[in-house]
Amino acid sequence: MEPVLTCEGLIRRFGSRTAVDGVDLRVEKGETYGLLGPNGAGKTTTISMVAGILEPDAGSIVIAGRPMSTGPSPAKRLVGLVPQDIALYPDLSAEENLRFFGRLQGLRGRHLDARVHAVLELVGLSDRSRDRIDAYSGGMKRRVNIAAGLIHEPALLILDEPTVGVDPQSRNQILESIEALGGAGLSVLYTTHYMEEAERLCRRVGIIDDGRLVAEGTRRELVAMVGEHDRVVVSAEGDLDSLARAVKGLPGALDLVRGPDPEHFEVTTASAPGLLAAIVAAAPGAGASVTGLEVREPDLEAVFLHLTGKALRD
Amino acid sequence: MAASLVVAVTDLVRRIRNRSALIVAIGAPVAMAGVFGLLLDGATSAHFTVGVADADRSAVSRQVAGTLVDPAGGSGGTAESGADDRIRFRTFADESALRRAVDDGDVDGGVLLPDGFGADAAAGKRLTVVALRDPRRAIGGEVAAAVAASVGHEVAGVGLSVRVASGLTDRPPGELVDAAGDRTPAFRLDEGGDTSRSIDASAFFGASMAIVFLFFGVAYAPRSLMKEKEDGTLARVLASPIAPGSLLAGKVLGVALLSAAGFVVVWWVTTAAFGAAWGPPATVLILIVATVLSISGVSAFVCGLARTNEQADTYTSAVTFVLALLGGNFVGPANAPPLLQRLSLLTPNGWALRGFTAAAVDGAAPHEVLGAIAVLLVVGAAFGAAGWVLVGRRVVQG
Repeated sequence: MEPVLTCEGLIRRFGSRTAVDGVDLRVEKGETYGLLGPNGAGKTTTISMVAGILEPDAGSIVIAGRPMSTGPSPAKRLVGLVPQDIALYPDLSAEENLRFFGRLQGLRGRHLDARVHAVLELVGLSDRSRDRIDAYSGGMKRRVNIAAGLIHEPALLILDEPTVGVDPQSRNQILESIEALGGAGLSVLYTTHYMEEAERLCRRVGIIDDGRLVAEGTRRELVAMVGEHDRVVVSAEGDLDSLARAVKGLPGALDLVRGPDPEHFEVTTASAPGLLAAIVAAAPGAGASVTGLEVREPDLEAVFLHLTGKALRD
Repeated sequence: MAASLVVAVTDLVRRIRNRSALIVAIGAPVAMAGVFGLLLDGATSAHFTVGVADADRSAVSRQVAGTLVDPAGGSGGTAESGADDRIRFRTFADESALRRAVDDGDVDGGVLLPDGFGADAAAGKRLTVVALRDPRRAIGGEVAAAVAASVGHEVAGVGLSVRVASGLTDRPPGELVDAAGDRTPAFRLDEGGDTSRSIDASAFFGASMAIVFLFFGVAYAPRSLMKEKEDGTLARVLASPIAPGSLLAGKVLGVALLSAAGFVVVWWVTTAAFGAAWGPPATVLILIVATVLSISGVSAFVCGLARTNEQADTYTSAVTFVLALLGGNFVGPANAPPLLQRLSLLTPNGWALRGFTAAAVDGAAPHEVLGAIAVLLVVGAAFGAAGWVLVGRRVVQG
């Protein structure tokens, strides 16, 4: 079956800085693909090119067999974009916003009416459709923001960090909506720097850092890259440098990473239970006292740390 | 085109909703027309009052002063009158009263006939007529100087005639001077042209300021584009199958319609409420449309140059003031120095003012201002095309 999105060798430079450097992507029909990376990794630039907003300096983008461009490309009718910002006119109602973006997509008459009602129903705002956007809560705005990306029934929905700044309840509603859309067969390209969202929603995940796609695969495939190892997060007081050196030399300690927080470090180990007691025992000799130990099973955060040497939220 | 209309209509709806449309299309134009109508009602050109004092008090000086004040009645004139209604003369008892009036700004300049004026005239000596000026009233001072020079020449001419005539008659020269003085022509300001042709000041400044206002009005397009970029809606609009140029056209179309409405309101209010004579309606309407299109093209160009909302504001202000100064919006092309008059031909507003002036002064029909209309449309198209390209490159490409 033809993929909904195929990107090959995407490159985009801003002056001397290369924001996206040779990215290849492929999203199948009905697949929710996660693009995971910290702020500034190149996620938004990548999806801006996929949505036809930015022209790539090199590479190609094909949407369901149609080449994408920044002009009035037919491929744009196949893509729905949900930007990170609330891309709506605050002085218009939800319905007026949806009609405007629907018309830009070429919808008219009864078809437009039907689509407006359908997407308002989908995001649960039919009863508030005549209210101005600036009267909505943050979560409601986010839902209309998603509805505007769906108004023209795209084949590929691009969601750029749709839960940033959203309260937990609205966030859960949004994630449930996206799960429902994926379940209904819509292809979704989802960017986030929240590892747990990518794990929940996406069958495959691409990890992007410094403009390069450093790894791609299912969660299981990515975790296998770092091995089925546990991570122990050590919180301590006193001479952490000395403690870190002592812990790194303990039997079973495979790798040690110091994050930005000076009171914590992270140890990778094949067997966490055996290491915990040894860490506590080594602390006094290193001039430190352990205040906390947390064992984490392998996840995408660990994969990201392993591949890039930095945390997702850095 | 359909996408441009969708953008334009949505922008208009939003502006009507936030009332800025009412301000641009009705409120501000009515206020502007009201101000110009009230301040310049019926004015066609500048008026000057020149003071006259006779320090000589001879028969000749009395005759000259009297003739200035009342060309028909000679020395029996009223205290304040004039040969034409643009220059009025006002007599003062003596030199000090005249100097005080000039210093206080009661008159725009002064003409003093000094002691010995009559004797010098009779003797055929070089005549002195003193012009008194106030540095703050440069033009009034120039008018007074012109009057003084004219008086000197007139009286000297009469003296020469008398001396020639005295060789042909046995009448004494003094008697001949008095007789010739009776026929001294009244001073008049010779414009060397058709004085029946004049422009209604409220029509000129109404059009002129409406053009300046137009610059500010259409500046909403680049500001709106930059605002959408900052708010994120631009990304969503550009993700739809619409060319960046069509988006630009929609933005400019919306503000152009409002600006044109504002221009028409200025025209209508100054005409209906203050009787301003703009010229044939068809010519005025076509000129308004051409001017709006031209300046909208300039606005589209600014859209392409600006990367931020602040830049859009700065560029718009700079373009507005430079073009308004060069185009003669503040002084009128005809009153500008020769270099500025030539430079005004490089500006769309300069051509627009020429068109509006032709309509108001000569009652020019549309075909008689085709040159101005053509230049306006070409300028609008050229700048609009440049803006179309630049928006694609700079706004869209980040």
